Parts: sequence; structure tokens; C-alpha cells
Amino acid sequence: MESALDAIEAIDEPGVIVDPGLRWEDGTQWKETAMRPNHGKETSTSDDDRLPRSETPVYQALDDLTNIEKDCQTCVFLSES
Amino acid sequence: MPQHSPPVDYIERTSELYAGLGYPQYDWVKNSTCPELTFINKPLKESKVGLICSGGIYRKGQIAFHFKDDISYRLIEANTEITDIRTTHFAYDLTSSRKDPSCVFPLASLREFVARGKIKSLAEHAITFMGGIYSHRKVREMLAPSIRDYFIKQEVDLAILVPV
Repeated sequence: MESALDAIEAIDEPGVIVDPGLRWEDGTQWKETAMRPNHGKETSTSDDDRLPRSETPVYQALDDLTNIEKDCQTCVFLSES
Repeated sequence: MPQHSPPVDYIERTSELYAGLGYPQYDWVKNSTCPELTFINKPLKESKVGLICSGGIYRKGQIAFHFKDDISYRLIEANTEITDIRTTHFAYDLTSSRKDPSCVFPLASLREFVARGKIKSLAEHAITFMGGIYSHRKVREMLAPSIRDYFIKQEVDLAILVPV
């Protein structure tokens, strides 16, 4: 985050990319299988555990569902005019 | 330290995967020009900073996001306890973000920068939404302008976008 903020003052032309030099400790092998078909399961990728898309809100915890603020003023819903 | 490797070529991989499943080619966004580079007109230490995150973040008490082209957004108070931050998203592994929401929602880091005087202040609310919206028209014509207008109203000098 500090690098990102510093870049705001340092970058002076479009398209510049600043590499902060940070790397995942576990390496980059996961990229070899990411989004590749899962052998034997042709309809999914090798690491695909995504949930189906629906229009029902998905809560992290059941408690969240029972503690929703009435008329949530900080939830902004947009509609086409 | 592991060697650097290029990002995942997710557009090519996604296209191959869905073509194999018989879906028509997705109309990926193609931007032919760079956005105009706008310089800030004051030092960081005098700037009010906004935070925008696309990782499906909501605060306890708010309505969560759904997974089907949800173009709503949430306003999260800048003084929110991090323990009240929740994450929900269809397209990334939520294990780490639920253990430490700061990895997708760096509000605590920005508060630290305010305390250190690196930036002047934060917008009253951070803005969060659900990334992975299929309709780039809705993002371009509805979601993005609404977020922009909200931050202008809050007199934000600059905004940090944290994509997932």
C-alpha cells in the first residue's frame, strides 16, 4: 500500500508499472494449473471450487443474515433508468 | 525468494475453457487508449484518500452481495472494526480474506498512514462492490460513475482501487 501511494507522486506518464518486489512464499507453481481443465471432470477447471451464480445474497456467516440493518442506508442499489 | 513469472493469461484460458463447453465467445473489454493521467494537485500528506475494493466486501449488518452480475455497492465507514468486515465472492478463494480481510480491503493500513501523517485523512466511507461483472456496459455507465460521483461529493482528492 505504501508503494502504491508513493507511486501516485512518482509516476509521471501513463502505462508505468511499479514492481514492489513482493512474492508469494509458496512460489508460482499454482499458475500452471490455474483455470486449466480438470482431467476426468471436463466441465470444471483443475482448482475450480466456485459456487453457482444466483441472485440470492451469499453471507459469510449465518449470523450476518439475521443481523441485517433495517433499510440499510449504506447498501446502494443501482437500477437502469 | 521464488522467481518472478508473468501473470496468468486468464483471458486465453477462460476463452479456451468456455469454448470447450460450447459457449459463444465472450466480448472482452478492449480499450484502445490509455485513460488521461491526472496529477494530484497537492501533496499526499495533505490529501483525502478514498478506497475502492472489488472483492465482495461487506460490513456486518449490511446486505451481502449476490453472485449474478451484482452492480450494487456498499459504503463502509472508515472507522469500522476490521473484525466486522466480511467477504463473499464467486471467483476467488476466500480462505485468506476471511482470516485477514486486509489482504483485499486495506482499510487498516490506510488508517495507519493517516496516523503517521503520510496522508491527511480518509473518505468517510470506503466503497466496495462485487467484481467479475459480465456487463462492462453496466460497470462503465452505471457503477463507475456512481462511485465517482460519491467520492466527488465527499471531496476526495484521490482514490486507491484494489481489484481482486
